[in-house]
Amino acid sequence: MSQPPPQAFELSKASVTADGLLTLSGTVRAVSGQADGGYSFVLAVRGGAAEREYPARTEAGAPGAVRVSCSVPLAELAAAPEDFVDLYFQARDASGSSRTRVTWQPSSLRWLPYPTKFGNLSLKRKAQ
Amino acid sequence: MSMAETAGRTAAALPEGKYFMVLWGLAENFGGMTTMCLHRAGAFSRFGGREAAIISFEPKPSYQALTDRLREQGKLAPGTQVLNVFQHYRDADLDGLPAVAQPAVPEDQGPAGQPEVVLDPSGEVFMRTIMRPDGTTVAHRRYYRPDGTEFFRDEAPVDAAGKPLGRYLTLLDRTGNAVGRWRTAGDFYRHWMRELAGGDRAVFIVDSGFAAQVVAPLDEQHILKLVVIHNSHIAGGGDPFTGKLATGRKPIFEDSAAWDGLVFLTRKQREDYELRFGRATNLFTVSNPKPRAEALPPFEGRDRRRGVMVVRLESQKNVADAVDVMALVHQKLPDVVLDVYGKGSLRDEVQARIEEQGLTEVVRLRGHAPNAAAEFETACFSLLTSRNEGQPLALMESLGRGCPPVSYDIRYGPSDVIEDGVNGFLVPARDTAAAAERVVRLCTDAELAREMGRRAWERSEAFSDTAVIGQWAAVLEQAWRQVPDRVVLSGLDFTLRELGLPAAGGLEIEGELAWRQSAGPALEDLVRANLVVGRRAGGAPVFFPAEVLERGPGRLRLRAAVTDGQLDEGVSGDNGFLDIYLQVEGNNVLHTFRIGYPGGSTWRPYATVHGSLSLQYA
Repeated sequence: MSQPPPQAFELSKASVTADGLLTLSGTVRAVSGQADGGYSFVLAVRGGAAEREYPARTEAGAPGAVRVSCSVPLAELAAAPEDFVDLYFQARDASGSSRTRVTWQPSSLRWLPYPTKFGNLSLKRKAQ
Repeated sequence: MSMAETAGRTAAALPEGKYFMVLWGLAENFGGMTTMCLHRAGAFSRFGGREAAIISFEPKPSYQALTDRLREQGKLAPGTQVLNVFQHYRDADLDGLPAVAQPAVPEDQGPAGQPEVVLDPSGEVFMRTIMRPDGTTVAHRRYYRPDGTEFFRDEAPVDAAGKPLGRYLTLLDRTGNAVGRWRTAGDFYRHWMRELAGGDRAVFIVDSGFAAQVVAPLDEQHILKLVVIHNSHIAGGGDPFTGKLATGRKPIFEDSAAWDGLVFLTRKQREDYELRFGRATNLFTVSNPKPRAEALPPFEGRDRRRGVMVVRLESQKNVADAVDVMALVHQKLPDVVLDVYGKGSLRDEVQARIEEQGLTEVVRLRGHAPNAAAEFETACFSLLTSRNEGQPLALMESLGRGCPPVSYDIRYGPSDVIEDGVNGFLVPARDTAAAAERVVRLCTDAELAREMGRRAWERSEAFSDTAVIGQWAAVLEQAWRQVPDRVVLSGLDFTLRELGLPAAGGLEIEGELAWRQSAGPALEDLVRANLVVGRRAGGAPVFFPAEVLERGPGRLRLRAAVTDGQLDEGVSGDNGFLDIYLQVEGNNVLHTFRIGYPGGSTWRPYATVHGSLSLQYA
């Protein structure tokens, strides 16, 4: 199966709520038209142990763009506490699917969030 | 030389009311905190026109011998009463009091060890303690009057399995009837404090961090509670913006709203506290008093080749640096000497350093001297090389006797009283070369030394007894004015509902602040909140106002956001980590919450080193 050209996904925000819902939102600027198979987010346990796909909701955005969002109940993640889980944006059409890593906007970013060993929120300076 | 503040009562400078200085206990040998507490009590009477008593809570049968000695030494004013809760009820007439109805104390089924007995000075039994066999846990204590009747019982029964069944403290009349019952020692102590106040306006000024835990919950409209912060609020004199709070006083800062006043000794310490935690109406500054020479000691009486330190030989005082300073001075001025008065555990270590550098004739350890402060009247300079201080009394003594100090610019104290180059010299901490250069200048420029000494003495007026009582009067008047605005609350908590991490950087939080309020104006109408970005490697945190989304009785819904650019603004290059807090303030309320992730332990989004979004469990 041939790989379709990657869809340019741009993350707007990742948020997490007290009831354990991770919400991802962003914009897709289609390189070769709308992906007819739709969009989803894939949460993959690092090392290839397991992954799970969550369909995204879409709505029209600016010309040539689609607004995409997805909510993930974190309690459903089938991963061990010592694992790390990486997030991908996936676009699927008739010719197959493509994945891109969900990222912050690294060109402008100076501070990146991380949880401390006590579970508190801190930020570390992004390596230049 | 006689002191400017001679005996004689002044018109009442302090607001009307009863005054009490609170210590946990009064030891045979004590340090600066107790010294200042005793002095303040006397000064309130002599210069403020209000009698003040010392009160304590330790189980001790008598202070008579100690107070007699302290009065002889001039450390305790003739009219200052020293009261103790156990001594008070041992002598009190309880026979007219009605018996209180209370459930029986559960039977103690635990093992008991040998009794320990404390006698009073007359040889009568004061207290009998039954310990558990572990030797550290108290099963019960019984306290006795001189006539042998029991007046107080403190019991901590356990069941047959060793499970604690609570604590029972009972006050007894001579016939053994219970006339008072409490379930915590703190409640018993506060009952006594209310009796002391007697329904009148009363002020309790707490010096002991341990006693502060007793006093903090006392909540009466006619009572003011203030606590004096005697040392750095940061453990080990660490970084003022990132260091951990000093353990002994941490409960004071974490529950600061309970106090009508947190009284810092120096402006600089209060500023640091406000820069880190925010402002509140109950933060004050009052210097310790330090008597000064009545007149400026004559410059001609000073040995132009001699400096003085009055210092404990302990790690915090860093006398080793003073030795190093004098080694540098000695290279330029071989006949200049430093006399060090004081003793301490590091004496041999300091002496070894002196000998290693061949300075035995230059730095002379003189040991303890009863009136060491008088040495400042004949010296040309003083040195202070401490790592940290609350408010260095030796520095104040030096100024008060016209001896210009050369001091490290440490937290806290020197920068409050030294105007660099005017009434002394401030040099960066650990800069021995700069300190040595200033000593050389004072020893070689007579006019400079004379003028600085004069300015030093003039500056010391600011911490005379009269001036300090004036500061207390102003603080107490303001504290009384603020009583109607005092917010009394418990259970203040912040629950993070949502954390947003924009891809462009920065963060957004939304959550709920909740509390239970028992007195004062509604907190929801006056509280403000800020998102606070702390810089882990140092530097003051930055505050960003939060938006109030909803207000209701006992709750606020808040939202706050900060951009990547705002996070980065003014952050020094050596700062690689930022920590996030929510701060709330309003009237006497000041509290900071560390921000985590919403919900309990779960998967938390984070950025990899490449800026990719991943989750980890925490």
